[in-house]
Amino acid sequence: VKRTQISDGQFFFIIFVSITSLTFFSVPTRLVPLAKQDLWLSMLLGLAIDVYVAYILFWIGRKYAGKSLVQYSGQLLGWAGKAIGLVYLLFFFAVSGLSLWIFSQFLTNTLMPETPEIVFTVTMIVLAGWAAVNGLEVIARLAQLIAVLILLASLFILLASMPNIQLNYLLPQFEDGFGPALKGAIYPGSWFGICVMMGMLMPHHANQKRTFRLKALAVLLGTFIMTMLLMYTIVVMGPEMAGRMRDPIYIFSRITHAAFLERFDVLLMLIYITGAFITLSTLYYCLSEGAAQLFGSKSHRGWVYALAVPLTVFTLMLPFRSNPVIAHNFFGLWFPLGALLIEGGLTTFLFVCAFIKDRVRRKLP
Amino acid sequence: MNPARLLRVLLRFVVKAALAVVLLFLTSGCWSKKDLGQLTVVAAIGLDAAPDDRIQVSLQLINPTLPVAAGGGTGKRRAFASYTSEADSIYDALEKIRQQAKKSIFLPQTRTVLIGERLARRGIDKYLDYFWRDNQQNLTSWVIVTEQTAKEALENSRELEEVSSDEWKRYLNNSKRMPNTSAIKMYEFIPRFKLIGMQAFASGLYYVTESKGEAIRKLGRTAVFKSEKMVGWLSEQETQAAQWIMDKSSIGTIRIGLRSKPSKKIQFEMRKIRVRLMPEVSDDHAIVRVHITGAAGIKESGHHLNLSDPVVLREMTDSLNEGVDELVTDTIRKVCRTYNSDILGIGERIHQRQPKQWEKLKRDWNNVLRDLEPRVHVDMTVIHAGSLRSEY
Repeated sequence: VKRTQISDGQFFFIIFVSITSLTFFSVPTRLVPLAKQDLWLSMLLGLAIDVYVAYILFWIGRKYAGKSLVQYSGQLLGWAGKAIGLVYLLFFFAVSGLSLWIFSQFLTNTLMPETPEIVFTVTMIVLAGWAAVNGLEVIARLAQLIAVLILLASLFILLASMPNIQLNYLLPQFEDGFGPALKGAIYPGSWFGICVMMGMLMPHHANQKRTFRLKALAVLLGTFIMTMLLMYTIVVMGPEMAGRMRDPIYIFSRITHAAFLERFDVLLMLIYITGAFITLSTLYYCLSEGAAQLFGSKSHRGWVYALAVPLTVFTLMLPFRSNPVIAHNFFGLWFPLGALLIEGGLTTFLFVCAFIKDRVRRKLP
Repeated sequence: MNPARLLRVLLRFVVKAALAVVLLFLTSGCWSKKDLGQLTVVAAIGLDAAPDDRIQVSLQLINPTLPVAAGGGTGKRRAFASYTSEADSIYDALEKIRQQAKKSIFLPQTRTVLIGERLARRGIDKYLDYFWRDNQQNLTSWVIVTEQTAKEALENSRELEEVSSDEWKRYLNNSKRMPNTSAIKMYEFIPRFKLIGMQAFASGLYYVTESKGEAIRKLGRTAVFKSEKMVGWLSEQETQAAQWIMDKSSIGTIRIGLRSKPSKKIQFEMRKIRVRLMPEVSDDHAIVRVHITGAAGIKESGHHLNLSDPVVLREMTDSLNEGVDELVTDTIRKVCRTYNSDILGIGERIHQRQPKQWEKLKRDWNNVLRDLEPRVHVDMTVIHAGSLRSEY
């Protein structure tokens, strides 16, 4: 079967756009109140976790050239591997649902208070599904375009807020020791970790020797942009206020004014909505392609159609939609831990298996 | 190309074009429509104390003037309308105002939030929650405490601009004005109520009676808050000193008499004022070292000054340093001892530089603050004498 190929730049920007837009309104809510001005360390640790996962995925990906995450886990471990593949797919599914929920909830809460959430959820699923049906190349091309938008808009917001910063807010560093920053690392770590979808994208990458380097650079750039935005949020509003707000970056964009330009929040929305679209289309594509590979279907398209309704229902039926207690525990602890267990733990397990198998094979001529 | 295929291509094009045109209608949004005709922009929010622990909310609503081409411009329309209502919460009061004005109220463009002094002294923390929570608020609006009620301040406008809050906003925004009043925005104001080492303050607005009995309102002074209650005012001179210490301004004016001739005053204008604030703390005691540098120019003098004479220059510089020293020391004493409130952010400074010490001090910070000892050192340079030659 001929695979769609994506270039270095396209691969780089898909990863970059995905992690920035996915972390925009998920990570800060928990991270800022916990780590405050030390959050740069959490972000660095998150980056380290993700680079590690990227490396082991790259290693397995090179051993099983042309195979995707779902395919080689099946090949490696038989039926158990298929089960592992299914876990990854369920994880993609869950993350799609969660980020869709965060997306729709954020838009109803801030920009369009009278529009029901279901409108955002359904339109996004339709659009992302449309992109996913058309394949990875379409998404990749759009990602290149949107990445430039994200970079420029972020730069613009950062420059515009320069006059408002008070560097004193960065002190004291590590007031309560390294504990909060270390604990905080699970938030960026888990949300960045969605890049295990790299395992699905790698077979499509034209130049697989460079996959790891590009992936690491993309995550580095994404982490850098997010860390800068978060640190600016803190030096502008102060840790006290930033830690109390649910979406500190959004509040930061509302405070930022430059000359006659007063509505930077719109710019931020532009970044977020377009970025969320790319992320969801990519996730959706990985999900349906993975399902097709797992169940031996010819094309991923059928799965895109088949999954649309379950995804919508899942997003709209999430148990914490109307229960802040569950939402608090879930996003504060269960999701990050679960996600890290799958992205880090399960992937490491696969890596260990592949490594042992490789060694054994080398010894037996 | 055969006709059937041509037809299909054409048909597809027409469908796509029609779709594009239809989608164009959606760009204005299909939900949450905010009709401009139904919308009134709020220029200012005024909060006053009402009996029985209630709150009186006044809104200054902008009455848009039509452009001349559309038939406006000639008629005498009031530039704004004021509405007032009393309720238990801000939200409730705004709801009542919506009923009075019969329009939807657009808050994100609010220029100023006025707080009546009576309410400020009664305590405002419970009302601030509204500003934290409501995402339609403008967090960059300026906070002003009015000596009269906020209602009166919003209704009786004698400002040059038609909408008084526009003028206040421009004045506070202007970085070249003398720091006679403390300018603070909502997003800097509200978090201070949650901190003990950096407490809240706000600009003041009050009447100055001019000739002909016409009262003019003036922005000046500083309202000092201790936790959630306002405790008093800083005068305009003291406000300047406070602004320098807080690193909010680097300019100022001062009138000083020479040591030898104290009755004849010299007016200085100071620039490039830099303050280094160095708190030194032991377990239960704190000293704050304040090191001030800057450049001063003579604006007006009551007598001849021969600046080319080193003795005169020395004396003048010394007098100036003494004057600034006295002003800054008095201000710190007044804020810390009389009002016992840390609007200068000394506690936060200790927190930032010596977090371990702060851990011990913060429980008893108000008492430590009362005994805080300012040690001020001023080093001003007299740079120019205006257009006169230095001998005069």
